[in-house]
Amino acid sequence: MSGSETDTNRNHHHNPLVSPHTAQRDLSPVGTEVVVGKMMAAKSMLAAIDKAEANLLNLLIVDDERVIRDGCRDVAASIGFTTFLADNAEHAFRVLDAHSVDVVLLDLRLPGLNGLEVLREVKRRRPETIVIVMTGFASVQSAVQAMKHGAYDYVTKPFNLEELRLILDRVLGHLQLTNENRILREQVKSKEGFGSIIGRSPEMEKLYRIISKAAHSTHPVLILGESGTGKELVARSIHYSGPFRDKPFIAVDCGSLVPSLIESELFGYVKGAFTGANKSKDGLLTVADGGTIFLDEIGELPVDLQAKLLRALQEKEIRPVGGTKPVPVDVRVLAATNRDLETAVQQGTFRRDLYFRLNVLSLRIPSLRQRKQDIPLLVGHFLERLARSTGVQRNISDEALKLMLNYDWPGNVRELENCIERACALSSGTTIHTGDLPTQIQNWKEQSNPTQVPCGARGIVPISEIEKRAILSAIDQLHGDKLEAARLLGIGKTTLYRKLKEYGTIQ
Amino acid sequence: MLHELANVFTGILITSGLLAQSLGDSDQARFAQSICELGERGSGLVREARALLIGALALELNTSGESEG
Repeated sequence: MSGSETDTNRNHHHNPLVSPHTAQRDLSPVGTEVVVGKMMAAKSMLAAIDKAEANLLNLLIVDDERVIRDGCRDVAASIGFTTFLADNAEHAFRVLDAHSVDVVLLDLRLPGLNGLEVLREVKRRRPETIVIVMTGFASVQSAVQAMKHGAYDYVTKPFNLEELRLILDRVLGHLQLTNENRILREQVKSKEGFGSIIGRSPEMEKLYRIISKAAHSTHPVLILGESGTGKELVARSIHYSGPFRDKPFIAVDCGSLVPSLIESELFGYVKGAFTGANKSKDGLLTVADGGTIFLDEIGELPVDLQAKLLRALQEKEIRPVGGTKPVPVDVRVLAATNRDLETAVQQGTFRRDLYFRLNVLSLRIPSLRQRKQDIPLLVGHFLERLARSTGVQRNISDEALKLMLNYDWPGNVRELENCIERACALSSGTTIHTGDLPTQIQNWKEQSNPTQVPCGARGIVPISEIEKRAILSAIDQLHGDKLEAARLLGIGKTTLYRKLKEYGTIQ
Repeated sequence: MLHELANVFTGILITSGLLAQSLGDSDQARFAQSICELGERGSGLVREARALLIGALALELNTSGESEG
């Protein structure tokens, strides 16, 4: 038994997921590296996206022998794996909970929990994780048992460098093939986009890659995007592309529920909890057990319920209204908002700890004006869908499409969908002309002055929106030269990059 | 004991292999290579001992089964 800080420190050398300068680390005397603390969410969010982009694979090595852990780590890192080390079962589970692990190299003989039990638990928590068992007994029985419990392969100790390399190479090949198959399946599923999401612009392709990665993780995801961009569609895609697609997907709009009802809806209640509670009712978190709950407009959740939700996420149990006994729940949370949650945190209207908890992985859906090249595809899709329900196949004139391409679409895809439905209803023939489009589109003049953008209630434009427009417009005019944009805008380049990160235009 | 020996030799084989690799064609690499070879010999002995032990255990089980029968 030799887990030590040395493991942790050395592992940093290979592990781009953790910056030793910024993330707090668990430096308990174990051979495990687990990122903890409030910095974790934001850091791992960026790291997760970086990882998705770089397509790195994570390997967890579980062995109580330090020399074996170190050796395996060096070999795996040379092949291209990002490695995590654990010297016992408990720490292996902590790593599994904190990171998206693709492969586990597991010693069957560990202190405490038996290796087969660890294998079972790994497969329960992460069914898609590949487990290679290392066995010192070499009995056919232990290997057969391991394979029966879902191990991908086994290697008998003592093994040498080449044997280890061979088996890791094989896994790498298997994972690459699986990934290619997954991408192909997703492409076959929809030529127009990803699942039910329509779009082929580079912004959307990037989003699909992140969705695909998020789907195969179990961490919470914070989905950001303007109203009408399709946040629920993205949440559904994450759920239905993942390993728990057969489990429930429950969507809750926190913004449309009366605050007093949200608690009983989410957490359920027991008989007699309040007037009218004639019988107990399961909350939506319980209904979604084993699957996913999508909390739309999470920013609207009252602060007291934020604390209760945080407890549910941390403790994996809830307490129904009026109940005394906690009810265990195992549910993945996807949350969405069009509000700036960081500002809400600063203003004290959103709990910082919940924000970090939800923001483990975050993705931003581009607005329609950021991906105007998708408009013809979307128009075609909506016309096709309407044709199926009405039996009338319509098309659109070039002039009408040109007007639609010029328009800014503050209501995003939802507004485009409504526009097409309305135009089809008004159109007398099978072609939609400019006159069939809403007047705001017909009269739209391309905006050059950001203060003229009609958004916000009663035409009042929030300062943050004007600022955003000014920054994005400057960068656009300067063909992406951010330093020059910062200089001309009179702000520091650090501020500019921070703002761009907030807008989700850079990672 | 055999399990521990298997762990010891795995450690020796992997680290000496990595060492030999990092030393390239230098003279020291020969020493590392020697450790690898000795590690392989030791590992062979562990495997042999294990096979003997498994054989002995199977024999013991069979014998006790016969005497009970």
